[in-house]
Amino acid sequence: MSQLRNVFLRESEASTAPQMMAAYRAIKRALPRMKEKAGVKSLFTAAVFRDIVLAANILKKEEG
Amino acid sequence: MEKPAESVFLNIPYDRDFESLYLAYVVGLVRLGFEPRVTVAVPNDIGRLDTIIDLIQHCEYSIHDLSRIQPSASGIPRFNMPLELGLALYRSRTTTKEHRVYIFEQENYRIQQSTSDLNGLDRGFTMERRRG
Repeated sequence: MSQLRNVFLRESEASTAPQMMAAYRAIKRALPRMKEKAGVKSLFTAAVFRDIVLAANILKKEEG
Repeated sequence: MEKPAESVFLNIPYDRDFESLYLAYVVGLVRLGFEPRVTVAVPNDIGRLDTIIDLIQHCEYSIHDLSRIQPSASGIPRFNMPLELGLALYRSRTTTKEHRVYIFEQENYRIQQSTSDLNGLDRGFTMERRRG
């Protein structure tokens, strides 16, 4: 995460590396539910991808 | 008015061992204000290669994670990811930096051996493969 942040940090209000890791862990915990909801076993599907992006955006907005 | 997010094409291996890093890339990019784009999220109406070219064409950046370059279980090396890297480098080269390419590797300097044509470009970035 820190390497990714080093390369892509553009916004002054962008998440910190610990915030990014916290979001990663929270979404990882939710993955089984996301897969179940989508009726798939693989993470690499359009439906799960959309849910991951949605969840990451919601967590970002919640942190302000 | 909020500026639309710049998009990043993710060129990664779609296999079970890579799930954690895939999740890290997608979540990390969203949190940094970017829109990640992946081939698995695009309907395969026009064929995989055309889908990839289209994604590269419409993304400002691409990430190519070459940390898993070993042969597949069948013993046959897979060249899809280097192929996609080549497409992105061509776009970057022919559009005066409208598309920026970032290469992530597991080990420093391995890419100079595996893909020596890249020597002389900006160095790739190492991303350690960690869980969590």
